[in-house]
Amino acid sequence: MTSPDPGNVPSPDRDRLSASLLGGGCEPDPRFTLANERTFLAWIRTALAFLAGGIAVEAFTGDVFSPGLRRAVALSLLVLAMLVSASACVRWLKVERAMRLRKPLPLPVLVPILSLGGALVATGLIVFLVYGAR
Amino acid sequence: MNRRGPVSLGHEDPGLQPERTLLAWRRTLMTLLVVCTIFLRWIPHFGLIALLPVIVSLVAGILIQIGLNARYRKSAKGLKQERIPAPLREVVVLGGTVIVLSVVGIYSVVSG
Repeated sequence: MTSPDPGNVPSPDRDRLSASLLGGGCEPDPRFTLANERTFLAWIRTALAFLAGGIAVEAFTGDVFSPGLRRAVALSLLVLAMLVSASACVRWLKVERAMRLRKPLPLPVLVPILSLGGALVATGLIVFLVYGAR
Repeated sequence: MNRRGPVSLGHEDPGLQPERTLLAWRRTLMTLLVVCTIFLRWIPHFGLIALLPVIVSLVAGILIQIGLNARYRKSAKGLKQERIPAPLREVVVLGGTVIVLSVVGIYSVVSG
C-alpha cells in the first residue's frame, strides 16, 4: 500500500461483492468518488427527513387530523422516504459504474419522483385545510 | 502535490474532500439517531415493534462509525495515490437501514 504506483495494481479492498456490483472499468478520480458519496449521503438525509416527518405526523397530530387523514399523510411520507432511500442507493451505484467506464452520468430518476410526491402531499393537505376542517 | 511526507492523516487536497465527506457521514449518522429517537414516541401506540427501528439504527450507526475512521485514513492516503475504493459496504448498510426503518414504519401504520 505504500508504493505510490497508481498504474496496474488491483484496487485496494475490492472484495467479490464490490467487484461484481461495480463492474469493470478503471478507478475514477478519487474526488469524484468522494463527491458521489456525499451526494448519496445528502439524498439519505432527505429520506431521513421524510421518515422523521412521517413518524412525527403519526405520533403527534392526533388532535389535528382525523385518523384517516393522519394515516394517509404519514403513509405517503414514509413511502416517499423508502423510495428516496432506495433510489439513492441505486443512483450511487449507477453513477459509480458510469464513472468507472468514463460514460456520461445517468439522469436522476429521483428528482421527478420527489417533486411529484411532495406536490401530491402538499396538495392533499391544502385541500384538507380549505375544505376539510369545518 | 508531489511532496510525500511520512504516512499520516494529512493530505494535500486543497478542497478538503476527505473532511467534507467525513462530516457528511457524521451529519447523516446524527440525523439517523434523531429519527430513531422519534420512533420511541411510537411505543405507547404500537408497542414494542417501535423498538426495532431504534435497535437497527443504533447497530448500523455504530458499524458505520467504526468503518468511518478506517475510511478517512483510506481517503487521505487514496488521494495521494489517486485512488479510493468505493464505499460499497457503508452505502449498503446505511441505505438498507433507512429502507428497513421506512418499511417498519409503513407496516406499523398500516397494521396499527
